[in-house]
Amino acid sequence: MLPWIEKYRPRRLRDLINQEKALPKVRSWMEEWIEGRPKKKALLLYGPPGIGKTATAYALANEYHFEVIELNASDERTYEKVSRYIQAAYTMDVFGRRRKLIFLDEVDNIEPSGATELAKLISKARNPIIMAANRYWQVPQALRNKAELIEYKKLTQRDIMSALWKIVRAENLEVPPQIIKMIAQRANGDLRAAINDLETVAFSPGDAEALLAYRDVEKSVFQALGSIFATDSTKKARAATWNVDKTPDELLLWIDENIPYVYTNPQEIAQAYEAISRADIYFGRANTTGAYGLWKYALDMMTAGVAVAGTKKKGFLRFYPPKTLKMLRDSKEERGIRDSILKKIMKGMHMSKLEAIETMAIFKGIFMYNPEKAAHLAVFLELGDKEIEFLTGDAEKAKSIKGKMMTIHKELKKTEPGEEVKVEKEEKEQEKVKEVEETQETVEKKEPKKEIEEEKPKEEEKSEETAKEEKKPKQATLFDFIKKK
Amino acid sequence: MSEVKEVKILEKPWVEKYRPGKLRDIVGQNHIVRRLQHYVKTGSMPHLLFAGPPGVGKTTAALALSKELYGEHWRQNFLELNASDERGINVIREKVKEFARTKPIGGAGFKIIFLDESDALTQDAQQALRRTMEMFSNNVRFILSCNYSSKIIEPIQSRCAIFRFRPLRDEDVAKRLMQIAENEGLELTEEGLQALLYVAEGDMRRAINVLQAAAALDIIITDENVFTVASRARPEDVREMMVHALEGNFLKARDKLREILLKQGLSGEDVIIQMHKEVFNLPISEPKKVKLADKIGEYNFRLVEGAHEMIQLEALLAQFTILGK
Repeated sequence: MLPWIEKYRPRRLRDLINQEKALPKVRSWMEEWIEGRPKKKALLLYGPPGIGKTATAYALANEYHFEVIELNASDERTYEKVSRYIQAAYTMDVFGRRRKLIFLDEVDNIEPSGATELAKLISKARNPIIMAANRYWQVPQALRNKAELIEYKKLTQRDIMSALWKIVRAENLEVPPQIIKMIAQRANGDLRAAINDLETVAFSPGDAEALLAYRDVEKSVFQALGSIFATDSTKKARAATWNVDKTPDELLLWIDENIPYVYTNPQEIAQAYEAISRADIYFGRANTTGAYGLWKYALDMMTAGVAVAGTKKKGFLRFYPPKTLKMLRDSKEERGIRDSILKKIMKGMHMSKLEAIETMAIFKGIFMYNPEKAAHLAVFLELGDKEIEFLTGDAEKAKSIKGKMMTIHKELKKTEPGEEVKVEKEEKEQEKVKEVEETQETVEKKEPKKEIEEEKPKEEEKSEETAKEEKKPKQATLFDFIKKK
Repeated sequence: MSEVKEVKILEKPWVEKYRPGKLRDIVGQNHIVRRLQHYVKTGSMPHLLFAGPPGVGKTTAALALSKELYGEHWRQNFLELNASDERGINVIREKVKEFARTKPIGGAGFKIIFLDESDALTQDAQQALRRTMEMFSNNVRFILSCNYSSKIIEPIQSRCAIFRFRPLRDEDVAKRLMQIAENEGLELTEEGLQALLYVAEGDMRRAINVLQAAAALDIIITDENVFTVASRARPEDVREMMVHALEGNFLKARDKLREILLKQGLSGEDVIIQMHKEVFNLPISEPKKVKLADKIGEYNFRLVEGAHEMIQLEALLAQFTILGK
């Protein structure tokens, strides 16, 4: 059985509710494609969730006999997939198969670098591309430039109620009007959410209000969790994964999250975890060997295995979405900054990642308490503004460090022309290095940029070595000191 | 004196500033230094495998060896790669190929590729590495660095001269710290020094990093400042996580784990290694430690086999909650 959200998805553009301004633009864009000369190769539909952006793509495809390739822009492999379909679709035409319409959801979550690449692909596209976003201003400029922007309006409570009533009639249901009104109110303009809520209420008799209280975003996955955690029957538990709008991988994370909320006895927690640990091993083997037949055992373990792990709580079970997904989303930028600092430490200080993590943690103290010393480290590691802020955790402190960095840079510049002051030997060395570089250039064709980058550390290196020679007598006295002790 | 002044303009991280530039200045590894000096004298060497705990001089030895072999040309003849960072063996192979394409500069017989964290490579990747090593052996010598030589496949081990770096003795670390303190004008108290040795655990890099951070707080190095600074680099978190689990508080332990994995960016393997290190320091009975170590091993194995390291580590924590009781 199809989820209602798909069952009642508009087949034609005119079935979409209350987007009269947007739809003609969509249609004429498609007509341009059919004639083979679109002004813009892509559309960018924007507006709040659940108002018909995805529905538009499917309805349009249906009317014009395209096949929809739906991709999520925040997925790392999207670029790869898009590029594949852009090429594959063209050649497949030859065999008379249906053309592809590429639907890219959530382009406001795309990585900036991915956006540039994607923009290039769009220029080359031979198939229509529809992108969707909630906030168009968060869509990278590169993508916006490639697309015709079309705004989708938020639906009113009345729009939603009338859509719900249509479904109620089609399904031959008896639902009290106040429930319909409540669902429409809570949906806040999101028709998809409203239809999912209606489906939930229709199939779970009881207190609709309590039911809806926590079924906010994800619907069917909550139902799946309900049947896994509320049953002792392996049959029922295994059936739970059917028709879930989540991949087994994702479902595993949902089950993982909720184990300790449902089971409270350590023995039961451990047994349930033993089950998903086994499930995960099957997934791992399937991934590495390509033997996807192993998935069924993984599904057994994560559903039936978890279901039989313990006694059930009485009454309502409250389920939570995986915190880790949110943690990952929320910390994306932060992790990016952290990783780039780590890279710089690894490179500048010859370290492995684990060592760099430790070093960064120790250096944080310097950045928080001693801007003067921090500035030196920042110059040495060539840290950027965001990276410095990350380490200080405070914009004001970061500012003062940046100020001191300017001074250091100035001083460094000042000493550069004063190279004549340096020891003769060093000058000779430098000449040699230049010679070497020239010979190297003739041997291999390198980009000039690289050459310049390489030059810098060389100079630093020398000053380090000479400095060390200077210090040696000092070290000797120290040795003496230790011996005396 | 101009050089000293120039150094003052940009102060490097001390682990770089005080990294020995000559083989003879490397402390605590005399047996190794002598063999490496021999290579310098003869101008030839086989592939090398450096094994040993972190912060005992593996990278320093590789750098110093190149500097002595190549003099001022060392940067052109030396390539540093990190096995865990280079996104797979193919990327490594490409970089090796690119580097090996050109002749050594300055009349040397070969170039050197230093591959850090070689034990992070899978068995398959190591096989590919072995072929790469052979393919370019006329032009390039590899120095593979790892914590455990047992994680390096037999065919690679047999092609390398193996060097086992010893953990540094406290006297060696202390000597170096005192030199640095003197040079930096610090007042290193006896308690401060003992604290440094305690947190360093024979890791010179950690000792120097902590000293530098403590010096940023105050020129008097006290034990208090040392511990404040060192607590930032927290394997403490891993310990805390294990204690929560053993006390039966699974949810707290799980939250901690997620923070370590997602926010601090440690890999699952990193976490499990830390757990294994800490387990014998936990306030539990001796037989329990053994049981837990065995569990850690079992889940280390599952971690390698499975698809989601977080799931496996959480399952391991669940095991801790039942064994803790």
